[in-house]
Amino acid sequence: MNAIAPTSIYPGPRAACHILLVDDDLAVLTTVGGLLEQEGYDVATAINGSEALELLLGHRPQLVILDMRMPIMNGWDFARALKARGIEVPTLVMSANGNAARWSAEIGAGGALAKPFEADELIRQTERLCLPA
Amino acid sequence: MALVIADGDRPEVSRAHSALSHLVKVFEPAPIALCILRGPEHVVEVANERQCRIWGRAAADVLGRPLLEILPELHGQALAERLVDVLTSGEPFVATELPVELVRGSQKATAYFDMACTPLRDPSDVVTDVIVVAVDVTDQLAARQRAEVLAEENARLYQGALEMLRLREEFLAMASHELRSPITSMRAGTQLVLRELDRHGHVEPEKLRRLLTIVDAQAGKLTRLITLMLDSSRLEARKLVLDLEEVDLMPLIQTAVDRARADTTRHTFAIDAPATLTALVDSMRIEQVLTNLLTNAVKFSPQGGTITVTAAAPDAATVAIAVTDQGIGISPEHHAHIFERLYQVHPDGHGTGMGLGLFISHEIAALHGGELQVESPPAGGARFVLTVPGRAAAGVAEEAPTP
Repeated sequence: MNAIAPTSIYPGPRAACHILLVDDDLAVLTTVGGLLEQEGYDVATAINGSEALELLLGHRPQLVILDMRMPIMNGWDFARALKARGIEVPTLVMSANGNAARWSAEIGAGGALAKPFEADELIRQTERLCLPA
Repeated sequence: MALVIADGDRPEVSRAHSALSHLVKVFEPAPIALCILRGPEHVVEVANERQCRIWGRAAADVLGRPLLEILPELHGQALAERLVDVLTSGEPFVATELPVELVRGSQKATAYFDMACTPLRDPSDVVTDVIVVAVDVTDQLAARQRAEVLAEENARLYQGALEMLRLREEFLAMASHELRSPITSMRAGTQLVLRELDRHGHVEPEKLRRLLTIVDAQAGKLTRLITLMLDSSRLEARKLVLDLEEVDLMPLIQTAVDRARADTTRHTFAIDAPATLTALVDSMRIEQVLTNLLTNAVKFSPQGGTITVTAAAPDAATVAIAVTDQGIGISPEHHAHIFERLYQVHPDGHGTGMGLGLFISHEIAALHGGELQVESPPAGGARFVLTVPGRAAAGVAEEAPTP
């Protein structure tokens, strides 16, 4: 994805904020990832929990934006796998299910985004949770 | 009818009888049956009106006669044995809902009694008689059993209704999830373009094309989901009608494959089929079935792999299209149910799907007079085979044989 130069009203070096975006829907990865890059964030994408885990072990992000229902490894198993490895990363749960907020609490995430969402809401939550390294 | 006491001239019982006669008079019109049976032969000394009615005999026909002579059917029944016990042991016998088989006219019928059989003793404390008090509870018992059957039936219906509500709720949750997913990308893609315009006054054409392609494809997906839901209702109401025509299936297969290809970067698609393949089908519906089979193949082979579409006409009357993936497969215990409405093979892990696609595809195949079948290839993955009427049904001449 081509990063767009940030013209955000928000201060801060967003490029230093690495985000791992996890969703089994390619269209979501492209469009939501594009919105984040437009704001100057550095975005890596994974199509399920297992792929996310692999990426995360190599390159530690400051925020994981996580879909919950995915094949191979779902959001819950991903969160458990992180915990088992003693890894703590701020997480934002993103789900089209009505239970997004409850699921977020279940895995101890920092927030929830109910799909579909406003770009502003995505950026606001990301801003809040993504503390540059 | 007056309460009748038989054998009142027996000196040893006459005194007792005068006392009893007062007592039994009270019981004559009572809504319970009462009789006094004397000695080991259970000779009927007293029987009130209700008792005679139960026996189906007139008082004159029972008094002074042994019980088993009046009611030979009592031979071998529990009641007859208990009467002997009371007489010999001096212990009373109490029972609820004791079944007694009685012959009424030529009909055998089982009646049920709440009953107390109490020993009567003479002055020397010898048990001489048994006083039997009984209430016919046959009707109450039947009513209670009917009520129990009704209650069970009610509970079953209630459970069924609850189960339907639960399924409906699950379906609504699943449906709203499925509908929101494409909207997420459509909104995110559109907002991305709008924000870009707001900031820079323009969007790179290549980027715009890429995002519009996504939005368009997601809108198509949304349309197909809505069609699925409408089709499901139409099928339930038997209102889904096919528009049959002679068509070449190959362009339909190609369109469905192209559509599935747009959803994935990790699958290769192979088509093994003749150049043309004529069938008598509703082309929109068959494309819908193929799209469903192919998107399922992508969805349930998350590691990627090859998805193969094989199409052939095994005979002039049939066209068979098989979609084979190398995914997680479908274990055989699901084969019998996989085409049921709202059935979920992967209720937790994958959790994607409304449980409508395969149901509708199967029904569409059946409406064509064809079939949709599931197989588990030995090599793994899943295979779905759709058969529809071929060129013989389409009335195409034999000079265009399929290779």
